[in-house]
Amino acid sequence: MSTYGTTRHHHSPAANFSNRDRATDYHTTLFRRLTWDGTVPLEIRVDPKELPANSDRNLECYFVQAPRVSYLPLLMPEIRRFFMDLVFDETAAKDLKDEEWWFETAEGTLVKWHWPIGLIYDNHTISASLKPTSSRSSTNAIPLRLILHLASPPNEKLLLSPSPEACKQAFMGQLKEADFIRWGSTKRMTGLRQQDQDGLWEGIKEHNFDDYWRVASKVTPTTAPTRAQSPVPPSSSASMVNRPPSADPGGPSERDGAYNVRSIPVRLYVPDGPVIQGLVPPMIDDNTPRTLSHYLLDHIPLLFPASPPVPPPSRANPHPRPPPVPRPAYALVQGIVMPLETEMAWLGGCLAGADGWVNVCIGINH
Amino acid sequence: MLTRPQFDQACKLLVQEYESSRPSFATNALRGWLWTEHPSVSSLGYLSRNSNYLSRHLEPFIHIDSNDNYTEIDEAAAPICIDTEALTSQQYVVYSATFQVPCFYFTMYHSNGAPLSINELLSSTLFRPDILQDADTTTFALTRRNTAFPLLSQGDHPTTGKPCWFLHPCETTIVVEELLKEVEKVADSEDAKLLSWLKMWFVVLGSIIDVA
Repeated sequence: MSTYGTTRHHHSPAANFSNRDRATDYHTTLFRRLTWDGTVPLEIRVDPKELPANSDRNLECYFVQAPRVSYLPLLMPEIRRFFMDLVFDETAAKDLKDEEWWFETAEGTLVKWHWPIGLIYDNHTISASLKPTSSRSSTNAIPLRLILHLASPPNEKLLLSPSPEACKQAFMGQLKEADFIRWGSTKRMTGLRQQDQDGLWEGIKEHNFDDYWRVASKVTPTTAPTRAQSPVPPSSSASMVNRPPSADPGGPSERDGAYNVRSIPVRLYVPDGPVIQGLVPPMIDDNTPRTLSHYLLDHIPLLFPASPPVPPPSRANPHPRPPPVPRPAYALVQGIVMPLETEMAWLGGCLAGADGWVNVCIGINH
Repeated sequence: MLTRPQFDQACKLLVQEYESSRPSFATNALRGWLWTEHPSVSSLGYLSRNSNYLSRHLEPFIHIDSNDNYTEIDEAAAPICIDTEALTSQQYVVYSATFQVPCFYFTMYHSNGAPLSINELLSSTLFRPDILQDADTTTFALTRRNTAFPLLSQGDHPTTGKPCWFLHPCETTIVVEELLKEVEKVADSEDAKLLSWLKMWFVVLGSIIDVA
């Protein structure tokens, strides 16, 4: 589980957006703010075999509470500063080339630097859920332990450049793909001025919600207040705020709404498994929004079986309810266990990552 | 565009058609592919094969006089292509879930096992010589001017997760479908149409890279 910052002062949604009068309702903004403010704990330690001579071994670990929407290459400057300034001996470290630095998890898997940090963390959580000793009852987030290697990246690593420029291009590519998935073209993204497109990445680099959303609101669908159904917040969640009544006066344009997209940009991660991506239309039929339950039944029915039908009413049981089913697995989005009745379109509008994608990570219950 | 089941079927038909045929230059691009599926998740099948290429260096044509002295560089003469090192390439045709078309992924290594840099890739015999026209390169991508996506960039293989280079598929459908209009007959069976689609895709791919 990850922590969310307390909700800070509210900006009036209308004040942040352009003259185009696309006021985002309070509800959507709240969840986007919570997503933006989400962080995960990282514990970074240099491989002891690679520590340069005379390093200060008392300081061998760097702890950081990293934003879920950020990327490892963007954290490199502060990580480098910590190790070079405080830990490594200057002479011993002078020949280190930081373009050869690379990360591995404590379990020995190569870390994908082009994944958002929140996804790296959640993917690790579900991988750990496969082990019988893991427990989900702890409400304290366990740090993700990463090992920093200083040289000799494996061949696979050599292939993927970790520079911030490469990271920016990968990020922009994901945003354009998400645009294509929603509308069948990348016009909305490519129609932005270059300055605005760059502004999205600047918002990530500076971790500035307003700068990012000033541009992103032009291309990200919102959930119309009359149709959005947020899930009931889980009671154990410390700082999740109950959904307030929508205060939106005008409502966003239905035409661009989250329920009118062709398909929602969603990817499914199974523990130690491949990434699954398919078409996810927002509605099952004219009146029924697609829920997480429908989506998971489509893709991984063994882990998320359909609920058995409700038994017919009888004198002994005039108001029957469906029998409880054992749930072998759970679904995490932004580190939160999602109720299965959550609507996919709502996830697309409110809980997507900054790259436009909803990442659903499946963990195993014990 | 193709649905995933259509892609799977087209690939299987391709493998079947060429596995027992006699080799010929005209069909090099379509032969030798293997269909592989993910061990536990369906709908992640792809084509793969290995190919060899050469690194290509271009030298200007230099005149040598009767005394074995170099005289002048003849700019009018075509540069001499000096192929040196043997390069091995793993090639994949995967399904792009976003763009719903086939997508070409590959890796390429020196004979000592080291992966090639982008410049080495672009100057190998894998790419057609005009690849650099109207394009900007970085260490991680080649982008044609005024296009939304880089033509060549790095990404994870959708089934194996391994990092690869790939050619962006977004313009493919339009070109393939334009070309198909010229050749397709309405009476063709569904299977025949799928196989045509994939073969036409290889033709379009062949304008950028040498798939042989």
